[in-house]
Amino acid sequence: MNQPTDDHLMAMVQNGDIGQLGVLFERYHVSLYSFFVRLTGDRVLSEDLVQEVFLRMLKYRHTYRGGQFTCWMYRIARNARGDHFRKWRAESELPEADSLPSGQRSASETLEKQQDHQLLMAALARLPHDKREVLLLSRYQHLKYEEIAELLGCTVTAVKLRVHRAMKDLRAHYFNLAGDPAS
Amino acid sequence: MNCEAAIDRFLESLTGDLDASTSADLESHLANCATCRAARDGLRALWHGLDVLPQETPSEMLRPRFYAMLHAAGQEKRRRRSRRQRLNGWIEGWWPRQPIIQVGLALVALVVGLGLGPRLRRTPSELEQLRAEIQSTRRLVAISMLQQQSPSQRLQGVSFSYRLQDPDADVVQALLQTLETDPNVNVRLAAADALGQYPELPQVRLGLVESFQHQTSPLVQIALIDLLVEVSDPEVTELLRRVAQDPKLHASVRQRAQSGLQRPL
Repeated sequence: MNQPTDDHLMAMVQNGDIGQLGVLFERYHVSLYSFFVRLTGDRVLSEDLVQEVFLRMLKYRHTYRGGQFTCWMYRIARNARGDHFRKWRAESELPEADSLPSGQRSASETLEKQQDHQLLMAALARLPHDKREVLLLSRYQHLKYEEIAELLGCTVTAVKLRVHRAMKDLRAHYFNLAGDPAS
Repeated sequence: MNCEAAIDRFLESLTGDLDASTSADLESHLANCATCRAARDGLRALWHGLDVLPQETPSEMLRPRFYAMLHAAGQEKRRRRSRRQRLNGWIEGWWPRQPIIQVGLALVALVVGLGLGPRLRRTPSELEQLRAEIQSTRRLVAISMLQQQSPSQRLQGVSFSYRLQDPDADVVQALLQTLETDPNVNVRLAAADALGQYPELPQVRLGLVESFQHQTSPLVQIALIDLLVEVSDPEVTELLRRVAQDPKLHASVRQRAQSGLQRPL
């Protein structure tokens, strides 16, 4: 049997069957949580933010117009995160991953190693927030460039440029951390 | 295709968003341009390298928290619907059939509404009730985490307490208990910092003074002195005097207490 689409589920939530939000929660909470963890570096806060996103979905369910559920969800997610930092504290940088490899290994070796996620997390942490966010949305949340452009309120070309610059910066930070300044 | 156009297409080639013809153009350019080829290979290695980042998994608490929120929202909705149905039935029973009387009643209601409306307080909205529900869950989570075996979970419990909007007696008591009895210095330090949010509460001031007597770590003692010098209280001054003169305490602790005494309150 076909799974109900996000649109169909949201239509049911809008018509009062709010239990269907549970299906959307099961579908998206892990990926939302990952997004927040990689963006903020704070696991406890990320769980709070996921909860806040679903609470807002319930509150603002009538604003959903259909068609692009993930785009709508990430708009709420960005607002929830922004509101949190405005309310509680000035935005802090993502803490760098612990116990970085001290590294004089070559880049090709390190890329293949499982523990390299620490190196990548540290490189991601060094990106400014806007570049980190656009990279996460594109690479991990699998949003299309058109969707990201709508979400960020810019053109598709600007999104591509930002992702490209983010990748370039990430690469520079990565090799710098890996102890390969020549690359 | 020139180098500039090729670079513009790199990302789309990685995400598979290129059509067949542009993809062929790009590959043809790369076959002849070593610089672009090296740049694309570097980008591709990193792009695929990002796969090593594991999927982050939330704790087991997230799901029950969400369903508690959903359950509370559902109950609230049912309550409101049932109230509305009762009200509709009641109004239907009383509502006059004559249009002229309906209009008259509506006008009376309008005048009464305009007169009384501004004086009535707004009832808490659905969202506020849900927020209160979350607040209560956070309180329970903070208290429960402060009692866990693992120091890192107890530290998380302390950090949870920051998310409570109002000081809660049970949470403050749990933090004081942690400050007094936790075997881990880092957890005690974090609890002291968290309690520092509520210096105006007499229970906290007394708790900090009382707890000082049981502390053995100079780090925690100094943290407590730093918190206590912020409040003006005779018991605090007395404690600082005793500490400044106690030869059994670490010299830096005595010195910090001395500085605290000289600080204008």
